[in-house]
Amino acid sequence: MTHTHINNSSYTFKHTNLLGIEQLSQHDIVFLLDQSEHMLTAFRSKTPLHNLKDAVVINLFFENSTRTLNSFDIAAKKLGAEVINTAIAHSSIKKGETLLDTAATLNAMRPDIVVIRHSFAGATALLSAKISCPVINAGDGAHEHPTQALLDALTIKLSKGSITGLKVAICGDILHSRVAYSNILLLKQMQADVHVVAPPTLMPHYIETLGITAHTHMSKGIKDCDIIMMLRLQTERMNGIYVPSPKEFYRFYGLDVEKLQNAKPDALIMHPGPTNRGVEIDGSIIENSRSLIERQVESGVAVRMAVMHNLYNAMQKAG
Amino acid sequence: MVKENNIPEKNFILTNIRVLNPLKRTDEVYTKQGGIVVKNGRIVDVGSNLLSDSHTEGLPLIDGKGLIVSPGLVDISVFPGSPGYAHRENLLSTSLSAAAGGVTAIILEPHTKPVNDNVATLDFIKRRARDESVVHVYCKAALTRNTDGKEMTEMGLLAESEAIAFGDGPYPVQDSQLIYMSMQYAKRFDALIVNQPQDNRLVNGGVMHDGHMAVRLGLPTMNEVAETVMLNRDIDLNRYCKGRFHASLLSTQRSCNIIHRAKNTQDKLSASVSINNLLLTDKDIEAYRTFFKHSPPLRSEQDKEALIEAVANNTIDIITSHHIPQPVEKKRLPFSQAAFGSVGLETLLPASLELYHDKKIDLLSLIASLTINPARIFSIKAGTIEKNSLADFVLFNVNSPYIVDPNNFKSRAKNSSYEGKKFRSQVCMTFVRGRCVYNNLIV
Repeated sequence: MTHTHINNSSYTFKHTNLLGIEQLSQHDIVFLLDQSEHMLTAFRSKTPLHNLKDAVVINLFFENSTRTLNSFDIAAKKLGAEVINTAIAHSSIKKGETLLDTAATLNAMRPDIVVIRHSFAGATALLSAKISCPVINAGDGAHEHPTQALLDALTIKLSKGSITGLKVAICGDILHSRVAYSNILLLKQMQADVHVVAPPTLMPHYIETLGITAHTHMSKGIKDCDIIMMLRLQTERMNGIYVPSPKEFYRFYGLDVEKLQNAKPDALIMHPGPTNRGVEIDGSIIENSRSLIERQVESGVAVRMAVMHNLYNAMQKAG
Repeated sequence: MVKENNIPEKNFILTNIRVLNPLKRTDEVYTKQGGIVVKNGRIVDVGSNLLSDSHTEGLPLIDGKGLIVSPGLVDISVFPGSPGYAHRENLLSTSLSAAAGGVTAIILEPHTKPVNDNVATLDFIKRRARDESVVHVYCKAALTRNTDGKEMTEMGLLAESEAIAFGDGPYPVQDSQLIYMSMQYAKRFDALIVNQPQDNRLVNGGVMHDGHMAVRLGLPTMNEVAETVMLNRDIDLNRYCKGRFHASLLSTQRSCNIIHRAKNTQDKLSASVSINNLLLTDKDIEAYRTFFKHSPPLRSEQDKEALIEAVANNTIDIITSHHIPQPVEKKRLPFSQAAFGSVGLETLLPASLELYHDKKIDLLSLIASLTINPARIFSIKAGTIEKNSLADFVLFNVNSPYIVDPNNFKSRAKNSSYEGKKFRSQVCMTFVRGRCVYNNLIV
């Protein structure tokens, strides 16, 4: 059995929630990536799809987001769904309702898919227990952001042909990053060689228990890499507790032309956005032909279409 | 390292001399046929039979009869006055004072005005030092911005600009998270973190050791737990972080025990003590003598003896002068209001040698704690007398008593805790890069 092909006759996607990459097998990932490629073709050619016709998708965002919310919104609409976007500022939580009461209330409205982002790790899983339709985790604290990892994987696959065996470095604020954790799980599952780079203050103490290699020197961490994934450093983490200043962070952990020379000559650069130019990445690299940043955004819509479609299908089959 | 400066290099041979090399733990006496050959500011040869060699022909001789030469002292805690407090001391007077005490390398504390917490200030001080100082100058940079204990400084950029350690001088970092984060962050740069253990909430305005004297004098106290609580914290954090940590200016017996235990498992842990805590006790304060007001405070006889023992058995690695120049107006005040600290560079070697005379610490171990140990821990190329090392050394006479008179000090400040005290040894000559920067010998 190879890693990239599955025998479709014996495989069915059975998940009715996507709470994290942790729940996915290698088969699941390969299947979702294949499905995402089809969706990408349809999306690019503006082929009308009706997979979620008459379905209601609720985007329940307890934490601010622009790109992820828009991406889910567009993905659902491309599949023909009705979409309701609920941002924290308008929610009942502000009126004192508990999280689980909110879930029960929404559930009573019989949505077909609920997409949830929350600033606390585990909040999505907690809510999903009270919601009978598929739930997609759009980011829970520093835990998981599975659709981001899938869209990153799709982008890599489309650029490099395969993920297996690639050397991938994830650089920046590993400690607070759900993107990093989901990516690590997915890349490990696809048998990539995973390295992480961060100052010791932004690196989980036991990160190597995930079976990856941790570096505090960026030039060592990205040495001979095929893929460099940069992470966003939140402004509030540059003020002297985690990192002394943006200037110092850029000097030692910002991806600039000089550090990039340590990677393979054909190494590709990714960033989940939004980028801080001159903090974690040099502006010229963002616009470099080796940058996949815009393609990641496009992949994002396709991946979310594939995920919604397949969760919805699995739920229909499960009755 | 300090860059090449404008000190003229000298060539000579030092003969007829007893040479201490604490790095190799050697103590050798050379006759008039041997000694140390200095060319272009470096030691080019050390041996017993040099004068017959052609490469020594024509070099001037310095006869070290009856004298001992040791590597120049490295003093890790010097407050330079400049910038900001030049009325107290400047880099020239600091360096002349150092040379007079046998000190050839000083490590400056960061709490100047402005605080040495950024690359521009660090560069400024280093440039000043190149222009003014007769000894090597190294800088500790502040660990937190403005030594406020709230935000880390740009440790990486400062380390690239040759800050050799990070600490907030007399303002120990109180915030556990910040010192923890600093220790973690410092590992990226293999940087040395220095913290003087003193818990401000426990010090609570105290001005002297908690003991019989404090009761008699009615003064608020700094008890031993104010030190050990923070020392235990720092050491446990360092155990977890596994970085380079230096616990500076210890003053209690229990601190010695804590360091002794911790060193079994932490190989990059080091500790220092002020010479004042090895020679003086709270009894010296007597009638509110503010020249004996120190932080950490002078403590009991028992603490003092334990600290000496800790230096002798290498639990405490470094002796420092803890040089703090204070003008008279800062000291001629009620004890509680007077400033902490005393000048100490000038008396560092003679004062330390008292411990040798009293047979409390052997000569090589004592010299090691003043030379190679601080050089090794603070990553400075110093502390040895061997071929190819810089000609930084001090000639001293262990049998030459004198009485300390602060009026003769090179330091601008005269607040010595040893005024009128008789020391049994004297510094004779100090050389930096082969240049004589202090000469007390009639040659």
